[in-house]
Amino acid sequence: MLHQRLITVLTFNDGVLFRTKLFAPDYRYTHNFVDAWLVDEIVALDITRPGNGSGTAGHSFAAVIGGIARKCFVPLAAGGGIRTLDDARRFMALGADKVVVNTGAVERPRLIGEIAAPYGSQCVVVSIDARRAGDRYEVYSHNGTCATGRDPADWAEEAVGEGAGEILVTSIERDGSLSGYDLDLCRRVASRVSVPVLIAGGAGAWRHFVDGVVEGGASGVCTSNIYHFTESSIRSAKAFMRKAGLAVRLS
Amino acid sequence: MSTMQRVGIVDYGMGNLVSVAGAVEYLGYEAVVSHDPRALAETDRLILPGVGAFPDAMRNLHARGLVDALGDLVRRRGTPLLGICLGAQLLARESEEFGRHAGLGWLDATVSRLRPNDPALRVPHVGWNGIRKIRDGVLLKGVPDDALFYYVHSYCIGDAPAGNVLCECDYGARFAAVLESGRVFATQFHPEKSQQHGLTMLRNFLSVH
Amino acid sequence: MRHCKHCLMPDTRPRVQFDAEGVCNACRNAEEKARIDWDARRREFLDYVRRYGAKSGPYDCIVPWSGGKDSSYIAHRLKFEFGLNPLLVTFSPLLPNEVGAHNRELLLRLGFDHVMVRPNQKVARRLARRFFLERGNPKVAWDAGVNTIPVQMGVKYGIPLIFYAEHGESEYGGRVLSEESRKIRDLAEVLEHQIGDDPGNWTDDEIGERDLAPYLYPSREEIERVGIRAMYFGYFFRWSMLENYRYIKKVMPFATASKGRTDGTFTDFDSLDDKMDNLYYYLQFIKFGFGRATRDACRMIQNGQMGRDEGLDFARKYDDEFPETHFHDNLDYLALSEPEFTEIVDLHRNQEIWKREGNQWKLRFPPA
Repeated sequence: MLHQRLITVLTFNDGVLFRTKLFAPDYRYTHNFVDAWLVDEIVALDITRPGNGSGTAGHSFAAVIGGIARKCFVPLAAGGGIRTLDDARRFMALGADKVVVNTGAVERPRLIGEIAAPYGSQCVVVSIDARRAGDRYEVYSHNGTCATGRDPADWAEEAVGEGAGEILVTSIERDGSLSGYDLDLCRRVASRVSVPVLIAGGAGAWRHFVDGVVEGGASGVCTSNIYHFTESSIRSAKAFMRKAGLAVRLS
Repeated sequence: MSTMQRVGIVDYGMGNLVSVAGAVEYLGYEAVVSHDPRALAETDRLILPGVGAFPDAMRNLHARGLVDALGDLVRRRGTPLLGICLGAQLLARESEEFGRHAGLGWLDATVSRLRPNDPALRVPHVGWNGIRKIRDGVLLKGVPDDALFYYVHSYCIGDAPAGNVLCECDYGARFAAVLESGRVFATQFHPEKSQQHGLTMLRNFLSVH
Repeated sequence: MRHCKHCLMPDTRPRVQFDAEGVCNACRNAEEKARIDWDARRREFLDYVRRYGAKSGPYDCIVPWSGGKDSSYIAHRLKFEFGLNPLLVTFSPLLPNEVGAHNRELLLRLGFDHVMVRPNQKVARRLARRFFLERGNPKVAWDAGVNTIPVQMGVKYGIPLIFYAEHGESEYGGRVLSEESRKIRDLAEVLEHQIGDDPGNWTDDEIGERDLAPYLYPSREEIERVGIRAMYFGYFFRWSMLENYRYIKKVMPFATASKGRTDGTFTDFDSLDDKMDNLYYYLQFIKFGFGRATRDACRMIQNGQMGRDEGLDFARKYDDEFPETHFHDNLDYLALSEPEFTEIVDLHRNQEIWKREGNQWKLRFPPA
């Protein structure tokens, strides 16, 4: 049977691996300890804000993608500032298996289909960042800084219609906290689309991964907490998930 | 290995060449990524990767003169070839993706849309899933029964002759996961993305005589 | 890597923020301190004590206590200035040393009850080793325990009020999530910033859930039932580690570093109770490029007790000093050989701030 995925999300600021809190770079880390074997999938995102960084961010991120693609034998999704098919091509040529589009798709939904046409829907992950707004949610673009007025489930549905193969949902408020995913947000999106939904933002205790699948309806649970990336941690997390009755890959 | 074996990775503009080449090199072989039939002719075995849509893939192969060239290498010369994911599907007679299109025809099978009979199962089929071993074959050496592999596809090979199917996968519908027909091999999943067991399977292919 | 124009803190310090003038938020915070109405804060303190001090039982509050100058200063003032009866709660250092034990005994002799928790050492050593390897920090689990044990004791004994020392994020540069968090210790924030992970996740082949008991907070329900309020003494009373030291020296013969100076710095009175601290601060230097001397100098510069030039001299002189004192005890505790230690140190060496010159490592951007 299809196993649940535990996905490592690596966020790079100016080529350096960072942990983020509320979407701001928070703690830089050496990636000597990022486990490349027990993890099910890697998502690498370039979160360098335009104007910040040394100007060589794109170059260093390209090197990161190429390095991971060559040395890790696990699926790799790459994203960060993809606005055109050419941007996507660059990442795919470097070795990414999928591209992640966020603001680019919000601004121009056609972008999704443009990338899906040559590469297939399964290569396009539409990433949606959201904040709670009363008893609803609102999609934010531009690294969580611009309110779009859109509902995440509506946007997810539209994105799938345009050709998205997977949806990655992130709660901005939960980012960097250890308090658990926004399960309500996850549920709303997962129940609206028929493609796999990946949930991110707030993974703290291993129990949260189980909740993400069981209560949130996620097909993949993401963590960008670097302390979850070591072999010891991933093994511990998956052992917990398995004990809770989920099918996870342990070897 | 005393002499490095050369592995040709067919570049027809579609496929994760970096990962496949990386895995081949990791396993100690020389990776030759090329669309030039002459360069591919100088390799000991071939890998046909594939990411994208069937019609585009066939069109690209034709445009680069690779259909005949590969046919020559594989069918006449007997160079072993491994098709991965879309590359596996291209080996079939035809596919229904975006209309009916002819494939290379080296596997007596067709490619159809994955239609799980359980509405809770989402398409595309993305993630780690298992294999059910049907018959033995050189690719399966050292691969445990409970090994998991990374699948990412919306179409599949459902009607291959029993004799060619080494493993099936069940995702609300059974389809061929690993196939073998003479010197032609195929996996629906991505062995280069399937960690240790995937690498084992690749290694098995690369050591086929 | 830039250094604060006012003190010496580099921007590699996790979560520190520099403003447009190149001054770090710890310095700005220190400037704020001059403008605070400390009388009002004192009244606020008395109000909290009145409202949330324990209503029954012999103890009014808990002081998380190492026996060092800061926590002893707090305990002493609470008892002798404000007439409270604090319960001193210690989460044992990894490797207690004589100076620390001696200083603890001195304060106890002035009349305090004390609970000392020393956790399962098989587990503690395994975690110390693991985190030294993975994060270049052998005291991650200890940090968790220091945070959770006083709260566990508060729940067990029914003592709601806990007086921690200073809010690290405000005092030393970091991310302050809210004004409230300067006064009231945000238990979740502590976990997110200092530990970075949920200690319940540390199970492995040899460590089960029960083994992690000392490192876990009580449940939210229990914390709310007792009404735990963890507060920063440094919010109510102007904080300065030098002043704390002077205070404590007046009331007891506080012992300092036996060789007159602690490895890696010019001070002899800070962080004395754990042999492992030498290694801890050395790794901080490797990872972030600032050592103990910089750290101590910054605090004193911020409190107007030292000029920047003098601090710079100390930083240049002592920051890179190898942690010789207790080195072999520390290696033994972590079950590491010296070559293994060197290998791990270099795995954590931030290549962006270090470069190799010959057979030596040099900072690319030394303090200036």
